[in-house]
Amino acid sequence: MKTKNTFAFSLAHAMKKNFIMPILTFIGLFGVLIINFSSYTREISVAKETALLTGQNFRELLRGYFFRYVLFSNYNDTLYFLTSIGVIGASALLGILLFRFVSNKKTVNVYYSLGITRTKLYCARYLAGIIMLFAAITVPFLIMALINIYYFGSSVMLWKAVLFFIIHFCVIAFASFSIAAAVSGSVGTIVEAIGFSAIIILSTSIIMVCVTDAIPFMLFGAPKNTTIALYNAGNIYQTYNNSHLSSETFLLSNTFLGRILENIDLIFLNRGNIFSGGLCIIGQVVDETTFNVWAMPPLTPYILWAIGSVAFFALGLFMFKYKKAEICGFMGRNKVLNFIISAILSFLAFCGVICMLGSEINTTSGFTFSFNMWNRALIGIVISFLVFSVIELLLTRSFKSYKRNIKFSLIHIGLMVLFVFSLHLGFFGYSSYIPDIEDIKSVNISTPSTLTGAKSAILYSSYSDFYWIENNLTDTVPGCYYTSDTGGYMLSEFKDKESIQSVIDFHQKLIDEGWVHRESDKARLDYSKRSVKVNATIVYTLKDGRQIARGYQRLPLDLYEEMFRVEDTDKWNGLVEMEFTNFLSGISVPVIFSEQMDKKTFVDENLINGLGQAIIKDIKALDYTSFWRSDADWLGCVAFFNNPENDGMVFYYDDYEDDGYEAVYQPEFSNDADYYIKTISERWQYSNGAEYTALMNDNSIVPITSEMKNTIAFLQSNGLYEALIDESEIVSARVIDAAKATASRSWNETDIIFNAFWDNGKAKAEKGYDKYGYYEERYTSGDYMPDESVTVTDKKLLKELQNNAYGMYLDTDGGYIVEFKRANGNTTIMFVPSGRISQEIK
Amino acid sequence: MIEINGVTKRFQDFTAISNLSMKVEKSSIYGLVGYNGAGKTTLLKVVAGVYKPELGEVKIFGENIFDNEKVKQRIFYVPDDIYFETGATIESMGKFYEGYYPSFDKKTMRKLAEAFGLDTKKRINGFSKGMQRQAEIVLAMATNPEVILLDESFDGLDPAKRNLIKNLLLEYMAERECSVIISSHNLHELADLCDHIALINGKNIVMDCSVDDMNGSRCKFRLIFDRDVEEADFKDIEIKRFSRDGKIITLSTNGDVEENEKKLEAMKPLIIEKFPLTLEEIFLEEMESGNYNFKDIFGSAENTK
Repeated sequence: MKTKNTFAFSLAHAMKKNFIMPILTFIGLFGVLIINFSSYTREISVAKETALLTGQNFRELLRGYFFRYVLFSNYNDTLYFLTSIGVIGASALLGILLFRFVSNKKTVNVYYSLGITRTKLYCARYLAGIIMLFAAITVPFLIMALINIYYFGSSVMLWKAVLFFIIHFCVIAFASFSIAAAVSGSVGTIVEAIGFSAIIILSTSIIMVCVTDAIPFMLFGAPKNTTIALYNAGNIYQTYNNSHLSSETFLLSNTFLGRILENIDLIFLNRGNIFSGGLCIIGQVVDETTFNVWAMPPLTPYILWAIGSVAFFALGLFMFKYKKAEICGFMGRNKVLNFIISAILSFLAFCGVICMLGSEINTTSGFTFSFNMWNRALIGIVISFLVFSVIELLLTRSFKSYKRNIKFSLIHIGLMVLFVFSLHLGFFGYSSYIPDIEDIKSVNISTPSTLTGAKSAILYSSYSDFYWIENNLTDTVPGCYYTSDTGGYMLSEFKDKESIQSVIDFHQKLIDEGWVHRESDKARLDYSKRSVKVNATIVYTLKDGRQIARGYQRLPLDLYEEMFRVEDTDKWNGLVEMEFTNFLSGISVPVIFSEQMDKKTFVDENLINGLGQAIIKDIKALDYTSFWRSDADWLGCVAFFNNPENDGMVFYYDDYEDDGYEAVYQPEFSNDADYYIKTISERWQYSNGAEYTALMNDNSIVPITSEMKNTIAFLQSNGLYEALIDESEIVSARVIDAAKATASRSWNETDIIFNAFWDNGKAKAEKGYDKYGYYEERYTSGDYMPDESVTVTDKKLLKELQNNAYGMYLDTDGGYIVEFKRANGNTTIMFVPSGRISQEIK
Repeated sequence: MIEINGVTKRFQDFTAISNLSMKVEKSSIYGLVGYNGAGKTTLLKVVAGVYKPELGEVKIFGENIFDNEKVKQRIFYVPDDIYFETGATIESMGKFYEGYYPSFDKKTMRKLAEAFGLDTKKRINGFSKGMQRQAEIVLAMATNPEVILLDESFDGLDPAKRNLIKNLLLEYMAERECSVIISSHNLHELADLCDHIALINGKNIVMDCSVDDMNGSRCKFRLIFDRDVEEADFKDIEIKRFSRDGKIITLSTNGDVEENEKKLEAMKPLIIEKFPLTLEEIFLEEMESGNYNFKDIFGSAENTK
């Protein structure tokens, strides 16, 4: 009897009829690689020209610049992720297309009556997809390898990188394809095939986001939005919090959860290792340091997903074999998949509810409310059950069927309830766990605020509670007097036992404190009841290589202040010194502000370094209280502005008459700081504000107090001490209790650092007409003091207030917000800590 | 050759066919008859291996058909809703089937196409519905199957093509000793073509016999008596249908025709006439359709005015 190799025929036939998607994948991937490569054509051209001139070999020149390969670009990592997503999407689509025949009655009649077993049919089509995807992915990389060899020569690094990316993209392609094939071969409609495949593929990312975003609301100590950036003073933008990853969580890959989540998230598979390997694996241009430590990232995630793909293949084959042909054209007939999809979406709904209700709600009337964690969990479970039920009903469109299967939804809900309970009860000791000091190799802790002296750090602020109720300037005012928490940078490892013990002691206090809930605005009148929204993270690295990470999002004021002790460590001081050194390397324009910020004086460029070094000495010698809660006299401050001239920035002015942009201002170094600053502010109105922001907000503020001996000595010896002295006498003050003025908060919580420099030290009231005749009140002007402020004219009291006023202060005990008015009509708002003046002002 | 043993097929809560059994021998053309939704297509799909029965089994050539590659390569199922690949021609579909049927013969395909007047290189989706059916028949026959399952395949065909296919099947069956199961609503055609008929009613087969036996066991008599006669007076005879129009009595009987005739003659009718029942008449008798008084449905003329 004649026989036919139906397997081979099916394989060939499937490839012949479904080659379009792989071709598109090839084109897309190859296109991306070419685009990335072409972003380096300038360097290559320069090398070629240089080689021509010098008689060198251009390849050797490029290798001398550490070029080994160009595959993906450091400058466009968004494109890398879009490429991954594109490959995943195309692979899933191919899986759906190859098995779409089971969703159509006509094709089912033909294929299921053909002389081929279901096993062979499935395997042949599956293999067709795998072969086409492998070719579509491998060929572009091999072509790029040849192109790279032409320009940079062959190298182990090149081939390893090519191999790595082939493995990476093949694995994510095969995984998506396997999932889509398994789903498509098991459901009755194309809509389900597409929808279910998408949900299951995305479920790994959904679960990751849900777990890392929602669980911290339920599990005490779980890090939230843990985008941990190891502080690098040389580059404060060296973070792992790239904008397109901002909604994702990047956990240290050695924490247990981090390892699991990084390995299962298909969309961003192995992301941590790819990016944390320095610039090497994702980039191509490396410097000598990174060149020497170049290594291919671990392949563990790919092994896991390869196994996963095989598992999905086996599952798909099983479901295809036993799939009932009669379900084609009918939705909701695969009970197993119905349950899985409903469970995923209801879990997503649960986490969404937890996250939404986890944020406290502040109404415009000042009323704050929040759900406690049990209420949140209950609401989440109810909504989850409803979502589960709705999805089930939508899929089956049969209430009878829903009733019959209700036990599954109850099981699902029951499991969720158990899960939630276990989280709320500390998840088997997770919440209270601190490793033994003997097992700890090092510890990292996040900083409470950004580094004194960091660019724009202290000045960055958000809407202040100070103005939330009284004035409605929050729409027009970009920042006010209480800065928000911009901290959360991870201080690099402490290895000495003393520091580790300090962190352990602090951590224990956090555990003993337990959940800290946001207090009502009324409660905030009492400072002892106040709390601060933070991102306090502690990461222990154990001697066996494991990492234990814990995060806390709200602390009482005393514990928050304790975090500032990290600024007394040698490590911190070392970073400050490095930061300042970078800062001072030609791009800074220091301006001395007088005590009341009424006077601004530029520092001669020849004195910049000396001033910086004096400040560094004082910072290293003094502890954090000297800057944040000083008992010494406030003398003034030094602001280091960014000099846009050095950045090559040009200001543009939109002349409405001419209907175009023209460059009208080139910043010049001027001894008149006021003129310099004023000219920029005028231009701000007509630019997009970025330049203004770059100048005006891009600065560092260092307070000068009577304790800073080195700085004072330097100013005195260089005739700059007088710059600290205001010339106009204080004639009156308006005063308000800081507790009253800061009780109510905006939706975006503010910090407890009083900072008068958000508007570059408001000292002038500015109202007037611009060059076009429009009346304006610049945001540097206006009445910021609440109506309840009390006016003080008593000279003795005014003197007392002046002597105890600070432009920057960590407000943990309360005091007074004071607006000083001087004889020249200028005003300044400052802070007077509690217990400093002899009488109470009501 | 085809054994259907106690097959039950359910679709969720609905049972399409229940405990259905029948046998189709070699060189036999089996006609499947039933009202719409009786289960004919379901049964054919179970026989073709498209559906798996909940209970019972279908054996072809002594082997269970479901997911049986070897057996399926010897049978061809022509569904009522035919499928061709997008942009396919008879040639390209021929290549497709050639990949799965070892006995596929391109020459046969081309000759048959010629006989039907079909261009093998033209796109099938440009054909009329009838031509598409013809194309499907051509492809089916080109696979040289030993079992052909035709689901309402005569629908949409002109009389000439019907005749052509009929002759083709008869010739093929005679040459290859294949078995054919045809479902159709065209009872007249089935009666001409099939040697066996199965009537499906109420999820089950209510009648399964050869056409000869059917003719031998079903008959219609028209009688005129000189007296009033009721249905009960014919108690010795298995009556399928009884009707009276004045003194004329028409009844159809089951059982041995000659014997029944003798019994009727013994009742001394004035006139006795005998007619063979058509398949359609047998179908209508067996299906027991309800008698609707359409006057009640639409209302009398006086009521509507």
